Amino acid sequence: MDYPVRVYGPNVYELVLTKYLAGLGLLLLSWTVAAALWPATLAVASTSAAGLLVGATGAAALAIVLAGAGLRQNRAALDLGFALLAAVAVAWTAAAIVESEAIALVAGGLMVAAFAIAWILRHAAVQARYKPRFFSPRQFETLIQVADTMIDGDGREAIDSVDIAVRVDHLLAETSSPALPQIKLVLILVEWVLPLLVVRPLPFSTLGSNVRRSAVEGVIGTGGFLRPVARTLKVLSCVGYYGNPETMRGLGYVPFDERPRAIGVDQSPVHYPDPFPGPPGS
Amino acid sequence: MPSGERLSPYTRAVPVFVKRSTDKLQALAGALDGGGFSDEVERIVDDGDPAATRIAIKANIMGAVASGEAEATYTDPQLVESLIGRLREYGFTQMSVVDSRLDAGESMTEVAARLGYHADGYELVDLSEETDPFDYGGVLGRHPVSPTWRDADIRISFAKNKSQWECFYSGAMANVLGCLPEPDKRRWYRGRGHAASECVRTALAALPVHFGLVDAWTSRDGRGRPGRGGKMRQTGAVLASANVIALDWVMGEKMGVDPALNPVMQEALHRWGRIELIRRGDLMPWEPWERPGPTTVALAGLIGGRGAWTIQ
Repeated sequence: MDYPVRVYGPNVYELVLTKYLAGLGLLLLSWTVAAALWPATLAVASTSAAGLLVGATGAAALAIVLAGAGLRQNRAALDLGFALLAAVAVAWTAAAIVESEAIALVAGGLMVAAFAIAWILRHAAVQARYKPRFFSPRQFETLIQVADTMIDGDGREAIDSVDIAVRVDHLLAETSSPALPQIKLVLILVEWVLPLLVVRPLPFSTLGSNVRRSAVEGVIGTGGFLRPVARTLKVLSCVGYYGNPETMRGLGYVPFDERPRAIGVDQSPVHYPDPFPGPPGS
Repeated sequence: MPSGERLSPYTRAVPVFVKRSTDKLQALAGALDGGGFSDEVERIVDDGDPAATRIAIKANIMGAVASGEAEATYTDPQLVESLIGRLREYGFTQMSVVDSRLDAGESMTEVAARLGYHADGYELVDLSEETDPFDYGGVLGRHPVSPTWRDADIRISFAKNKSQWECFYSGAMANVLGCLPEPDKRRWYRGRGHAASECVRTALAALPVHFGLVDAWTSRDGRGRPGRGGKMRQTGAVLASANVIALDWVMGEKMGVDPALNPVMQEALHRWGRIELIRRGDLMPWEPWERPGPTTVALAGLIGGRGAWTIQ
């Protein structure tokens, strides 16, 4: 059988996670319905708080089912599903211990295990897809969205935003600088704080391109402590985009070594004598 | 440096030829002819002297150790020696068959001798035994290299047609993991920041492989750990191409696996971009063929193997 060549196709972890989430979502949904029908037996207690917990479990199930329909396309549902599943898993377990409910405790334990498996698979999926060397998988995903926002070529970009992020990640991995932790901090701020500027209490990477652009424009327009954030985003994107040989070729830039007038030019470094050969005062 | 080095062997549209035959040496000869081996050799040597040209053939020898020397898990010595015979006809005299150690176990030369390699008219070189520092760049950075592999003018990867539970199948690219000399491959070439696929891609970029062959005279399928389970299959073919990415792609198709899911292939496509496939010869899938599923590959990727680990 002939398979079409796909450069950015899914990896095995994404395939497995997709199937896993689809099954997990349906299981959770079934559990929600069962717990709603027989609260005395399956829910933690027959109270409104326990009812809310069952409702939250249903919401987690729906988000996970949606995420299982397409990981890359339904990124926001995936984030929401993970957050809700973690919360309800802890809540079921804690409430079951307090109320001494064996069935609810087993359910809570299984939800914790299900969340752990999903988290491991998701982490492996992002790791396998991008193999970041400097950034964490989450920070790397943020950087992709930053590059997508900052390099706005309306489809005429020479390289993909993933390539931009990969280049930045690899460059930073080979760099030694005290500023490196601050670059990571900037991406954490961008992911979790920046969306608040445009009144979107969601992670930056789950926002649509227009909202992301508004958020970044907000940072650029605002002075004060956000100015270094804007500068960092610009530098990261430009280094990743314009530092790529493919972009250089696309723009018509010819490296010095390849220019006709560079042929035969002695480019060996000139070594000057050290004007201060000994330590001061010696 | 041979003139052929200027063109990346991984971006050229060249045929992948699958030759099926009732005689294994005829299968090899057919694959070499169909895969453009002579043209490739002429292109690389150009006006140079064949007698001064060094050739390194990376056969899959230590894959046998990783799989407990199960049948059909290493490159057939007869095929490798037949290839050497053909190279001798072109006037080449400096030929080495190479692989590196796995863990602190036996030397590659001892294993090769036991498997049937005679070192008659060629050298058997254990790439772990004599190394120099070398800047591979990428995830490997400064790391040892064997001068035999580094200084070869023509590098050939001669892989075995077999399933592999961490990457669906082990092809001519994964075979190059054995060119990296550290014996403890699990420690050096597996894990975050230096995944096996990244190490293979870096090794392929730093020291390009000019021609790839896959010994599918006999093959090994299976869903689980290397050499455990699965069966030896009489597939009776040899695959050849001057582009190892395209070669591995067709190898995956023959096994009924989507090659794009293979982590080594994914890494290569990310690095070198889309390839153009020119499929030639017998393209029917192997039947029957047991292959690992995505869940097995994902689990194997997470937990990995023990001792004598490799993906080749």
